[in-house]
Amino acid sequence: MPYDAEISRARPACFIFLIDQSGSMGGKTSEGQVKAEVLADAINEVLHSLILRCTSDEGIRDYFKIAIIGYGAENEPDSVLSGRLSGQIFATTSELSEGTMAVETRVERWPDGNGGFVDRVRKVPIWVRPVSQQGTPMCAALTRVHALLDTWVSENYDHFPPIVLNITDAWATDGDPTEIGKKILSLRTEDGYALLFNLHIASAPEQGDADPEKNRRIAFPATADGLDPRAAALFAISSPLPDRMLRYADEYNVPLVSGSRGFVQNANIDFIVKFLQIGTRNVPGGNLLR
Amino acid sequence: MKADATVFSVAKRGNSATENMDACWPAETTRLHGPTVRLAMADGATEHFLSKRWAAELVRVMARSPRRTVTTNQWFASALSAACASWLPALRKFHHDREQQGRPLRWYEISKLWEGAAATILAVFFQDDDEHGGTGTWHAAAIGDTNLFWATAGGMTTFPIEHSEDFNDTPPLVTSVGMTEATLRPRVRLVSGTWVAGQRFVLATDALAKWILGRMECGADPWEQVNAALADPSAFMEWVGNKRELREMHNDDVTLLNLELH
Repeated sequence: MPYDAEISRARPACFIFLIDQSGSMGGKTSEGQVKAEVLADAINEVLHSLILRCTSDEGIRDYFKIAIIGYGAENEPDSVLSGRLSGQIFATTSELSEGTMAVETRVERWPDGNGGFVDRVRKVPIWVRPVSQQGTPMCAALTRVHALLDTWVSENYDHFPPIVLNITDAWATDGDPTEIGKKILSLRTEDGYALLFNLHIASAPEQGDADPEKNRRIAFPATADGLDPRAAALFAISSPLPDRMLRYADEYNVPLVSGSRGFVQNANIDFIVKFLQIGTRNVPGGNLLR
Repeated sequence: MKADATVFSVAKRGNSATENMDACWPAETTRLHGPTVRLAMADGATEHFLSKRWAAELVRVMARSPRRTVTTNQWFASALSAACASWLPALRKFHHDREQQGRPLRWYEISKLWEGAAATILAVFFQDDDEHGGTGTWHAAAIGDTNLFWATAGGMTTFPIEHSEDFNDTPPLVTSVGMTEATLRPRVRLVSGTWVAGQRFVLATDALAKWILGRMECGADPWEQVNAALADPSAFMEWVGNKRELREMHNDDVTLLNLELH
């Protein structure tokens, strides 16, 4: 499978961000920040980055179709987009650019290249707000993703395969995600199978927690060695990273090997950001870059 | 010296001609003459904002630069850093003009603006050695993967990329923001030689250059096809389209400058 189909306005790529909004996301990360806030910031940042990659002199080019699905509430897993994008599952990059909840303004000092500094206005767009409530219906979320992608691949068979990034701090509370995960992994376009990547966020160590293994980070492993059964189940439904992503991982100082899968256990904030960067940096052939 | 420059450029399939981010000096097919002939080609990076303008600015800078510009890393980096320094006022004017037009910059344009524009640059200067013409020296300087090919007794030689496998997604670029002479200098590649009347030089952006090198590496002659495509702009467009269709050439903006020296 080459994973090198052209991504263009005629053949946009599909991303689905699957975000855990269960009650435990209201807890703290290993760095002491609220997990739901960290995740919302990271998703907003990666959406911002994807839109900037599509920004040309003539406006936004729709290279990507993006869905952000939250799971945790009483309702079925659904799009977290609001405002003018409310009720819409997939949004193009141009729709997202006009469908923010808010755009915050920050002023930063940047080097001007001549030894001085210049004030830079930084715009921080917001699409996702932190949410944490109830259980972790991951199987229901993956079932929703499968239904969406089953349609998407049949309608877009000559496109780059869809990419799903699932971020959670817990394990499924509604069953074993293996079967539905494998159904997603079996979907394909002519350019390759769908890519499903899973990241598990580390929680702050509990008081009296003496087991260092419990919080050990395992990033992008090529085998399930050392994983507990629940982590091994997520590993089993995590795709091997295509060669291009392996190369980008190297740029982010994440040395990987052929066969490394898109799976991280006990990720800290740094790894959440790297996971999203590597998983969305799928530009083939330089067609977008140049 | 007199030289005939033939210039063809085709936008990436799916894009309009106005979205073509390549820039060339001269911009069109023309006859050049004088003691010094200057050529330049730049490939604007799509993921950066205003890269089409930046590529055009870089070739304009090279077209009016002194001859020494392409002879050392320092002179080349110095000319480019001066272009970078003048970009900030240009951005302020762009920002102001959009306000005046009632089209203020959107949040994503502001974010993108501050990342700077980016492009490759290749400049080749030819100089007469004596007042009679017919022979002389040439110097070339480059940052990135826009390539020069020139005819020698042993066949066509190439610079700065020598192997098709060396083209990648992240070539060195000249970014308009945050670069100084010191950061540009190590990215500069130089080459020079002598020319004689009748000799041929070709400048090409990466997709075409990679195709040419690939053909050369497998022992095939790319120039027969290139020469046929040089018949007229529509023949060139059709030929590039055909190569893309066959997946022999990446779908990217393609620009070629063919120079015959007299």
